[in-house]
Amino acid sequence: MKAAVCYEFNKPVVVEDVELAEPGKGDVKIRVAVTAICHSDIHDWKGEMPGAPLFIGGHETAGYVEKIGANVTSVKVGDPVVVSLLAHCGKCYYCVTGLPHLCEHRFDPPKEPRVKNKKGQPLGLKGNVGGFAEYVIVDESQVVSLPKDMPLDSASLLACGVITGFGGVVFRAKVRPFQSVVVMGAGGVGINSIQGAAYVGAYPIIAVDVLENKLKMAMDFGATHMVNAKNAKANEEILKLTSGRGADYVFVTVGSVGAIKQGMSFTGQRGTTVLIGLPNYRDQLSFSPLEMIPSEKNLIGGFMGATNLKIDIPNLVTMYQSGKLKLDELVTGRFPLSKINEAMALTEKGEGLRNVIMFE
Amino acid sequence: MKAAICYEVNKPLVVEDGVTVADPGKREVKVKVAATAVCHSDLHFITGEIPSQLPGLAGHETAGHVVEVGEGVTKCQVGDPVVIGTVTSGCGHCYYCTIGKPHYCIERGAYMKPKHKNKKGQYLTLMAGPVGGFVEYTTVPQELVTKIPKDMPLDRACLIACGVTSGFGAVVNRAKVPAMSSVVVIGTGGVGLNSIQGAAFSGAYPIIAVDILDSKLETAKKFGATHTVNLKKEKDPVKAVTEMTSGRGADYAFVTVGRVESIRQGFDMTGVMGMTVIVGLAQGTLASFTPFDFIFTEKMMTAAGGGSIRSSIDIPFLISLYQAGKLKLDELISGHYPLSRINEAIESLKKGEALRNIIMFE
Repeated sequence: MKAAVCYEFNKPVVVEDVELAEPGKGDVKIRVAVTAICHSDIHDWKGEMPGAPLFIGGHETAGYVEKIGANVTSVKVGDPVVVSLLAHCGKCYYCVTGLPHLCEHRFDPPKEPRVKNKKGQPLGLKGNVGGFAEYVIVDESQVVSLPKDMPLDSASLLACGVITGFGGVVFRAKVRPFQSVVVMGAGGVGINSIQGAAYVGAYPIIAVDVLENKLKMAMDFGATHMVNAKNAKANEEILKLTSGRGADYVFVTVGSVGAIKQGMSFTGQRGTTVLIGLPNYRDQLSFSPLEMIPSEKNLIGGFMGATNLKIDIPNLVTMYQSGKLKLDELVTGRFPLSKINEAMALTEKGEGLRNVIMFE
Repeated sequence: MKAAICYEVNKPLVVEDGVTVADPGKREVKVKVAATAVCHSDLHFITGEIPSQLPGLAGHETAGHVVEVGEGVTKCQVGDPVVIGTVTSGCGHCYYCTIGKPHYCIERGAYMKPKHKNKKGQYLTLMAGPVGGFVEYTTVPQELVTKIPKDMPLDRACLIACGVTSGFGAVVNRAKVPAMSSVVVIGTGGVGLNSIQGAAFSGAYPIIAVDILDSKLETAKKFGATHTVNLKKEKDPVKAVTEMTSGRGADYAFVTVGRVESIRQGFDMTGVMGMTVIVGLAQGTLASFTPFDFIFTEKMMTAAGGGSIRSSIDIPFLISLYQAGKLKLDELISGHYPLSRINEAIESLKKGEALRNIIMFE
């Protein structure tokens, strides 16, 4: 099968024939239909995340079940599915307490390498998916069935971008009606935080970005106000929009320490800054305890929107089908695997929302 | 092997030899029973208050050692000391397991299939839970089994299977009582005392124990009750509780007695927005409530099944608490009996004087 392999950071990925193993116990083999490019893929490719080449990127995938390993019960051959990086064992402390996205085994690599190149070198699979390939093998827990009439390019976004943004607001922070929300970054993740905030009745919902066209798009997804982060008076504008208090919640979906600091300054007393976007893993955040103590601000992380995959994905699909969740509008470019380098370059520039690789 | 069988309701159990149990199938384990406590729920079945097909085998607070494991068992090995309880640790994959409520696992209904036969070959219905504890050996799904430390005494451990978790868990897991909130516990038996120690553990105040025997109320104080009300001596128990709670009524009432009248009384003892938690199995109908009782007060009525525990987490946690001296178990045991004297143990519990009587098998 063909896959896009990263041999060296920052160099074009190589589309070549690779060898795929057979699905083992509890594994599901999927014929990939679509894999979206996430900003984390760009971080991986630039060496801004832990890990070294060789690897296959891609972790927002949808496709069809091609083959199932022993003991697999939740899907059958032919099922359309979404494939996520959120593996969970169902037995550890976090799984048992209803937090499978924090499973103790979520990052465990497969026991045997699943993909090798023609030279026989094992290839790492980002997110234990490696979706920039014609087929993937993943753990059953990473797979959720889809209705047959669900378009797979829209569905693939549910694997990461949508749930990270939407879930950050709805599942992690549990924002309540009438609470004020600022979303830093109106890209593929932030725009979903905005629609999550609109869904739960937050008000105002203030989109913050540096590009006017993205801010305008944010308004279509439910933002009630927009503020350009480059505006020297951004802080004053946020205060004015939040009755002089600062926001109850600030979701920082941009992977930059500068945006986090700015987001904390937009947060009011007892307010919560939620870190969602991944910066370069070497970046350090520094601030004074006095920025938190007198104001009792909270600073928390949100991983993959605290999503409970097997429950929340079907719910989000239902919302999409009933017109309450925008997905189609998130896909701004479609590319064949042969043009993946072009697509990644566009994602890096940050102008579109989601570029997707189409396999069929 | 020997078992204590219920052939007729309200009659002494028949201790009989020649009983057999099925070999452990897929994901099942066979346990040599060391200790089984007699719970009030066993009495509900044995006396016929809760109907059941006969002959039957009760007992559901059990500890012992694993002697055989079926295919696919991952939770324990032969030789491990274990607690067997009525609350499943869950399949890990159904809706309830996935949202952190494994005690509602959809597989739990299937666990009631009988596995013991008497010497005539009749199946023995499992009474008061899927355990079958009044017998020398039992076979259960691994999901009901929790491995425990080797130095944990089994007569103490068996109490954690149901009585301790039902009482303690109702306060800590179900109601999630915050520190400083006021708590009433109606009934200070084997379950109620554990609600009291759960409330004390959570920092509730005041913790008001309600019962009809001064001797039990004295014990309740040792478990953390800060105030007591004797229903036989107090003319207006509701007023007494209201006075103890700054004139507002309690934030929480845990009704561990299996009587509908006690549930009503507990409800009346709660204040505005107070929560009444039904813990004891009560037969009968809750009548005489009007919507007005709820609307102007925003009171809540709910229940806790098996203490809403996540058994794979909470049973080891409670054992650590015991070992650290923060959970009382020794004081819950009123007597030890061999299987041959099980009817004496039952009679003593019926009188309401005993907390927990334990049937010892070795």
